Amino acid sequence: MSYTGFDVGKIRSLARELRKVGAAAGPLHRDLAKVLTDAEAALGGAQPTTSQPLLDAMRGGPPKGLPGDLAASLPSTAGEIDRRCDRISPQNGAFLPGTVVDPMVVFSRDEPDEAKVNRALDALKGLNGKDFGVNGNRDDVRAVAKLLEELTPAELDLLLSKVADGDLKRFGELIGDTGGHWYNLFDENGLPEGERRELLSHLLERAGPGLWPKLAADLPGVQPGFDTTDVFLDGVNSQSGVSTTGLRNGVPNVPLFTDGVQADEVAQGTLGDCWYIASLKATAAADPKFIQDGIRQNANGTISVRVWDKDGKLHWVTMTPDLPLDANGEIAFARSVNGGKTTESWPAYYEKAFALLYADDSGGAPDGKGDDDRYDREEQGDYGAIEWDYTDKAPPYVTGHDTDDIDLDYTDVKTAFESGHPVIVSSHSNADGVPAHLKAAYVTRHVFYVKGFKDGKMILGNPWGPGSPDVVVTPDEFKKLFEDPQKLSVGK
Amino acid sequence: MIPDDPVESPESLRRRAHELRECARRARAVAESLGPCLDQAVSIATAKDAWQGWYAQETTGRLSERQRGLRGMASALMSDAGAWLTEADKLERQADQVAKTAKAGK
Repeated sequence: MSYTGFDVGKIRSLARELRKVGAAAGPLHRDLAKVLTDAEAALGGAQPTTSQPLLDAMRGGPPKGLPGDLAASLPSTAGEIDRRCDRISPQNGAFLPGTVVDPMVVFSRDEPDEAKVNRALDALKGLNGKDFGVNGNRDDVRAVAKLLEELTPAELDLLLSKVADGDLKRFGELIGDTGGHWYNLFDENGLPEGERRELLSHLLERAGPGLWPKLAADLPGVQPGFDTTDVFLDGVNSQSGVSTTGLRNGVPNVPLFTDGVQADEVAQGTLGDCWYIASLKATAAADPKFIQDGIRQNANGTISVRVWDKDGKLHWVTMTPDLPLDANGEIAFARSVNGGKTTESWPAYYEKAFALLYADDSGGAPDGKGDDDRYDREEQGDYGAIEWDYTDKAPPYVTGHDTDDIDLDYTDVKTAFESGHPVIVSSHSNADGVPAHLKAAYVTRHVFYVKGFKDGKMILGNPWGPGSPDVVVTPDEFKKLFEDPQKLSVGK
Repeated sequence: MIPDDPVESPESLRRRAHELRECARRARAVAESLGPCLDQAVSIATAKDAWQGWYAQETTGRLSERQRGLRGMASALMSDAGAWLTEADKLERQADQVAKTAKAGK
């Protein structure tokens, strides 16, 4: 990436040069002070050692002034320069292809207020061993959260570059633990999920790319894990048979969008979250602009996605741009596919945001592993939480509204669809009675979305995406092979 | 005859002259490092199209100010070293004079 009027390579070479000079400044100061002191002794008071006040101040006493103070100030400036460069051109390639951050946004920002940063650092440290009283720690962690939220991006970067891992980790644990004593009604701890999500999103939207790994390591809820998913534990998606060996986090090599939101191109990938992807695809098909408007890339390269929480409150969930990638470096879970190739990443960020915010997982899945706690347990904040669930659970997170049941009736579904509502529908848990001409397209225990109607038949799309044939059914076949149709409402 | 006033011995005067010459040599070496030590940084910071904006201006301004300070210190140090050499010459002449006087007094 090159920028007009900014040469990142040159700016970084300035930072390296400043560190080099800073490292030499201490010894140079000592040599200078020593030679002046020695000269003073050798002169024996016959004349002033020096006529230069700055040099005169160096004779004896503790080192102060130039050049010694460069030993601290130049590396500090170099750190600040590198942090600013990271914001427009991260060294670890953390940006999505096509990401452009206006360097003027970064280099026109004010210098960090060190006193403000130190207050926040002290507050984080002060949580260690603090007596929170009978009313719990919520007021205490809220006060620290406020200090963090008041930092400018430059100040946040400075804080994150200075804060001890232990202090940040402790804060992360405290805000994430909302448990209280049952006998004490006033024992309020941690930050409520929505408030915690807002704080994490606020920090992620402002921190420089070089500091994202620190946030992810110390604050639970920044990065959704995938190691509790069935597909990771099994090494394969049991429905599609696609291998998940080599799954890892990384920045994908495709941009957010190439040709806008195209519902047909969305492919579920190897994660078992058809119940979410079907809602996403159905909504994208009905109102592509609604979906496109619900995702944005921030000035520091993070991605924010609009999601409603379980209480119907809207959040912009901010995420780092890395995603679960397969062994070939391709996006492993949701993405857009065109011509057999992954072309866009936007579905993956919708899915990632949903994984971070979904709070209705009840554990368990009809996968025959009900007695294995590694697979079937309640989860929140990771990809494991969004594997397997019920048809009506995802839409409120996508549209902000609960779904309405529709009778299992071809005409009712057609009426809902044609009045602009996205519609999703479940298949049965077995393939009994599936006619031969539908066997290639019909998938059991799956959620499909209505794509349209033609020649008296309903066309149902598979969230697996391109390459998976549509299920085209007559009214009778629809009634016989599907269940639980749901009408979504967008933007009402 | 032994002089009433204590006079520094020729050896002491020559030792101090030697030390001053040595200090002058070291001071020049330090000045050679001190004066240009921020030149490269300032050269990068002020290069065309390197960077722009408030932070770039502030940082470049601070570096240039320190560069001027360091150059001033180095220049003064070179001047001081010259003065020390002059003083060393004087001490040596003084040592010769004291030595001559001492001989004449015996």
